[in-house]
Amino acid sequence: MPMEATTVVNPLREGLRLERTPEPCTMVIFGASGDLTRRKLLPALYNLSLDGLLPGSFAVVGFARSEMTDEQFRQQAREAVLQFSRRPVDPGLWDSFARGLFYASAGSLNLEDFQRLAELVARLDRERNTGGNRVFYLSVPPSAYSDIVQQLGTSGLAAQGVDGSGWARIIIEKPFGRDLETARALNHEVAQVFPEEQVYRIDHFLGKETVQNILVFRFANGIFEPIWNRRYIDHVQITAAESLGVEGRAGYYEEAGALRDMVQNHMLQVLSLVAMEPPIAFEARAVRDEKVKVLRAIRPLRGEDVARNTARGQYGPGWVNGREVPGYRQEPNVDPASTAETYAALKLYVDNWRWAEVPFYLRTGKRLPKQTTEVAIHFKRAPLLLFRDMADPASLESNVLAIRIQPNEGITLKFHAKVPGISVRIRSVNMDFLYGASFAVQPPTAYETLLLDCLEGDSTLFARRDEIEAAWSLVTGVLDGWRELPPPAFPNYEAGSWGPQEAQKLMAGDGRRWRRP
Amino acid sequence: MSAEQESPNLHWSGQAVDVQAIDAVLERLREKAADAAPAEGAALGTRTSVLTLVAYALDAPAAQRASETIAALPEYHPSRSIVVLAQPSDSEPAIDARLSAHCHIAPGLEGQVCFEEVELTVMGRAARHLHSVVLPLLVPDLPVYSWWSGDLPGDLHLLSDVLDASDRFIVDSTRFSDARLGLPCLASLAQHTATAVSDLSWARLTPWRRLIAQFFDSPSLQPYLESLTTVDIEHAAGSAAQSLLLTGWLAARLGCQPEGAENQVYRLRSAGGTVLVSLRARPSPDEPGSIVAVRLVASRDGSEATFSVRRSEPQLATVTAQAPEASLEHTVRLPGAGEPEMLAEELETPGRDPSYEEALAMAAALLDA
Repeated sequence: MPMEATTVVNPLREGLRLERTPEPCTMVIFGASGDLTRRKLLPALYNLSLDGLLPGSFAVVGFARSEMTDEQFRQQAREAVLQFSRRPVDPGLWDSFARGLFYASAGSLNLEDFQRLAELVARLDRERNTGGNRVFYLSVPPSAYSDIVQQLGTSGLAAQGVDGSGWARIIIEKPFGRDLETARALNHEVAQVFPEEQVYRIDHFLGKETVQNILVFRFANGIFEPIWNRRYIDHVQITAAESLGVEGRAGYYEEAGALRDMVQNHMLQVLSLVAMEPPIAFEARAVRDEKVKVLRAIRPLRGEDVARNTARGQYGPGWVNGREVPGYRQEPNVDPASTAETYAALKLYVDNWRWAEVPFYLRTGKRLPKQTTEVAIHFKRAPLLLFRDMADPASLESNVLAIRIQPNEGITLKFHAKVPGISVRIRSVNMDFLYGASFAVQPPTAYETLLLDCLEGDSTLFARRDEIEAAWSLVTGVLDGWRELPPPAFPNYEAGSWGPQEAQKLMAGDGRRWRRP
Repeated sequence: MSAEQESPNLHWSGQAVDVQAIDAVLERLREKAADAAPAEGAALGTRTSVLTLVAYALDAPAAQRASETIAALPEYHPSRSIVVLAQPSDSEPAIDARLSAHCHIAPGLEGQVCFEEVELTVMGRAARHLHSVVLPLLVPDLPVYSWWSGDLPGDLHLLSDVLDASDRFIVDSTRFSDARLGLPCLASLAQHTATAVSDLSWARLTPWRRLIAQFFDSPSLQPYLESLTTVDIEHAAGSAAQSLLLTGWLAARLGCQPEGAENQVYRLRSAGGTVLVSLRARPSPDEPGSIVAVRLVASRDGSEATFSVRRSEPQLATVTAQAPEASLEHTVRLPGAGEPEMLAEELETPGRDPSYEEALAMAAALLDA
């Protein structure tokens, strides 16, 4: 990712390959004893340290309610890294990494607790030469965001250093609000304390290699962009399918549902990367300017549009991957009469010059037959069916370019070819490009990429305030529309199937069908 | 299931072969290898290519070593590798070939990794026209990385043949029999060819350069960079190439000019005064020529600061800074610097590397001063 100019120019940095070592800083993790910290953040930091990508002067402060010593936190971190890191713990290196880990008890999150935190961070600035730079990572339930942000402001922790040299950034996890109104309120609160350019709303989807590769694929190649528009593209399908159920997140999921959990953030982010105009530069402002234009151009769904252009579902019992699984309402901690949707499909139009009248079909669901995320660009058919007598017309489908985000990251182009022989017989063939087969390199995890980007002050892959609000505006319209409709007859799809009939009808009504990923 | 057990290696060999026939044989081998690979859930028979690697050697042991290094490349495999053993003489041209194709499922990755190896022994007069043998075997229109694994050849015609057929020319200056003679030759070559020249020894310095640079990311410590007084570089006996390149890099980046040298102490003139750089070889269990320790001393407004990086174990280094403003000490990992790892790193790098070329030119100037 591109780097913004830093204030200090170190002549020895010039020409260092693969170099992205950020400025010295201290990272404070709120919710340091939580699941995300254990599974993702600490392993990501450790792997960055293995690769020598953390600043030479760096410290991590864990901040959570439980009482713990630095030593206990270090021990906990070691266990987390042992269990979840993509690479093993190097005993020779661990001590040095662990010496940079500290812990402060959050007590009851009052001003005094934050003042103690401020003292600790100031001490680390002196002792570890971290230069007055801070990153605050909110890995806590959304209900705590507001208090923490306010206290960061009041305690002076969010302020820049006295001489203006230090910076303070904040990383905020999803869900960012639960509708337009709450997202706006949260944005407003954050803006009281942090200027927008220091706010990093994390969406781990954007840290995935293949998602970033959508931009490279589209804009580093000359051959795709000329056909990337309404003249050549019939429609686009974006699928994020999970074979898992709610897996212990029932409390959250009951409140959220598939639309909030997946569509508002991940899927609309992917849609905006697929549909955006070429940015004028590969840097945070230019890329996000173009993404937000797409989100704003999506035709809002209101009232009756919602029933016509969306489908929702909830899984009943069934079989997935050869295993019998319960229905959603039978999952632990789920209301037996729950109306939370575990499946959502949307038909959207991006009303701009490039995409007028090209439908974008989005679908996401739990307990679908397989785990897969992909974008499929369906091109228009050849204008004249020259070969209709030599092939079953149904087999002369349009060309499809599928970008697989996970698993098996890669790109597949489906086109027609003549079956060798005297007569002309035509078959569809898939040409597959797999990242793994061309570049046999294990990529960094999404959290490694995004944490490093934030430490470097590069917000290209983070969502900006206006993007969040544009996405919520669309999603809130759908949620409102659903509320006005009669309660759905859930469950309406069997676990292990490709979703409810309503979703099939959404497509069939347009003479199209969902691709089988 | 380890990839090794499962990888089908299909071989073909022939004597006095026709170069034109090699491509067809490779095609056949590739299909067989893809068919035989354990491909449950993986795509079969597709090939996505990234580059061709051509290794040149003038004797059989060197060719053998090159083959072994290529076989040991971690993670990153060239789509096609060609090892050319050149045995020029006035006798009739003859070419022996051994071909093999491999497909395996790389651990932790999806899909098959397929690659082909060609080993050629080019004898007689044909060895003076290597391009006619190598050009037809390159994967169309993808970068060609040529690797020359010992001293540069004295035969300029041969060298220019190799350079013409390459986008990137890779050497390992640590393997030069005398770095003090080899580096100036290489510097002159880099200056006069359009092909990007690179050096595995430079790749070995990457972590050292990064760690040294990191000291001066801190705004409070950066001014010391302008007031360096001495730099001590220790390296494992066997070659001074890496130490000389590291000195060349520091001098080039800091805008210093070489003033003279005495007993392995190089005098540099910087804006802030004179910097004395001393290189010391010492017996070490580490790879010959590899850097063992670097220590920089700076003096500013009457106060002194020292910055040092010292290898404590083969893959660990202790980094310390002592300055009135701050002191720090931590341990970092030094990535493996074996030939396969370094070659893999070079294969990932496209285009010229101006920093290397400047460091090399400066190292040559130091030796000349």
